[in-house]
Amino acid sequence: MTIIRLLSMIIFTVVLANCGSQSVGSPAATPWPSATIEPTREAPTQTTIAAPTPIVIATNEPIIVVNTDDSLASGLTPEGYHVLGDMAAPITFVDYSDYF
Amino acid sequence: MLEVEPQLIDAYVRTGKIRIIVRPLFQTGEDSLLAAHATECAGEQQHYFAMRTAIYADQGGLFAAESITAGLSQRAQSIGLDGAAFDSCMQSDKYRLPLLTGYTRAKEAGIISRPVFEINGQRIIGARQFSEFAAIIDQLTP
Repeated sequence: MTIIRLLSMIIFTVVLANCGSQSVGSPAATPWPSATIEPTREAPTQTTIAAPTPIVIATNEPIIVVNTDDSLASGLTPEGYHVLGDMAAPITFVDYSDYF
Repeated sequence: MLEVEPQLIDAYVRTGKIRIIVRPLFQTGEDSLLAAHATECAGEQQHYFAMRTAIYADQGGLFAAESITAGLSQRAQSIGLDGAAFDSCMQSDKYRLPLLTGYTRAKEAGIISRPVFEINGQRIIGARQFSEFAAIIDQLTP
């Protein structure tokens, strides 16, 4: 037996052993691919911070996107009118308006 | 205001230069009062301005709806409000009198048309472009 033939048999044995050890710990049947995602060189590494998601209102009319940014300060005047913004802001903008 | 208000908010409210005070009018009647009541009910759940925006954004759809009350309830739930609490608030009608009192005060102050704005007391009658509001605000900004 040549050295090359001997090495081939050793490699074949090792490969067989590895296949066997993998199948022992695996589920009998795996209907879906593994959820694990291997990182690739092409994968983006930049962290993205998602902006607040606007709420989409579905009506009979065209879809409406409403900004629900509640990060702004709001409150009430002593008379009970709603205020948007810093109560100590130097300029007061009063909006007298009506719906419809 | 649907188009102008977001610009005012970005340019001046977020920067702490102005605060916007909302004084609702009811010159168009009961439907408008119901809409204002809905914003007050949304305010109980800290979403007054989100509800106001939602109503302004779909005034046509609401006005054409078979039941404006049902339409308001639907929009309240669409912006994430507790529907049961909102409906209960609407049925209570508890903001009707305060809203009508505010409307009476506005009329007594000479507000007889809409929309009307006041910037540090300077009254502006009728809709305006953002640039016109900005010119006034910039003059007043320290």
